[in-house]
Amino acid sequence: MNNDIALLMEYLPFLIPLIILQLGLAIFSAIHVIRHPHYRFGNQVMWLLIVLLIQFIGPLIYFVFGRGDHNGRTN
Amino acid sequence: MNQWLGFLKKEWFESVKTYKLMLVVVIFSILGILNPFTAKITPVVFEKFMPEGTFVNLPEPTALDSWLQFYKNVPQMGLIVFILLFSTMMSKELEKGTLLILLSKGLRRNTVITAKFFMALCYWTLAITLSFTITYAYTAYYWDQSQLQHLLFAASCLYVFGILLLAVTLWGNTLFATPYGGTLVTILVVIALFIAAIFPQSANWNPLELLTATTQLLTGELTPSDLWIPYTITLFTTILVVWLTISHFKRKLL
Repeated sequence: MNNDIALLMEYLPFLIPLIILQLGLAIFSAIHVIRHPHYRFGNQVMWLLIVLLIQFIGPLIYFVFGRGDHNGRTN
Repeated sequence: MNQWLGFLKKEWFESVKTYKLMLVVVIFSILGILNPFTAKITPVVFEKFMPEGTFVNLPEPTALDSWLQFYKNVPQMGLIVFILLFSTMMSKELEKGTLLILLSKGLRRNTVITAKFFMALCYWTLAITLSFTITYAYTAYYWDQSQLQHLLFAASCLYVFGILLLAVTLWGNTLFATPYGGTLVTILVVIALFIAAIFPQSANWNPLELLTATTQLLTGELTPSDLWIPYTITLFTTILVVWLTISHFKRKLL
């Protein structure tokens, strides 16, 4: 067990930025999906699953192909 | 020139508003971190998950492993991400008809193409620089990279190949004016290059050689002078494709 923690500590410089970036992107996209319920195709549940489950390709596909055009707000 | 800068500014604001800047920065940072991470963790994972008693003798990871990951991930994942991101740069405006207003107000057509291409080029530069710097920083921290050769030249090969694909995407996108047209044309071109690469003689000119030769460049088996033909061919093809796009767009009925 002690060994495992030592191992984890060793990889912390990689893990912290990776987790922050990936989770941040997923959560940001999920919020965007919920707040802008207009999509070029598909529905909310589908986009939420894509954005949360497929790491970094999911949000990309959502923002490039799935995001609806008629949204007044940008945040 | 003023018009050109104005259109470029509009392109820049559009790309920020459509989250392109954010996506490029986040995704290429992730890619940059992943390279040294994968190189470092692979032996550990093997040790942990191999059944008891199996003895695997894996050498300690080196700086070369980290850079091999870079030259594997960025051309594959990175280029796919990038082409997808910029595959709608023409078709979106052609579909919505927003370009028509600007063109009827006297915006020159080659301004549109060159400014859009330049913007995508800036993004590609940012993406490569970001992921290269992050991988470099981590690798320099964990390993000694003094034995690596031509690191910057290898990265520039990747960069130049990316520019070619970008030009091809822009051309396909202008030609078909659908979001999928650009991606499709790019995929077809890459497949054609792979088919050409089956023949060994093609290594003399094939732009794909710029991606496959990076490993030998790092170990010093190849020198930059061996690659000058594919390098210049790629650059000239890029210019040719952009020129073709401009001349095509000038004749296009909107």
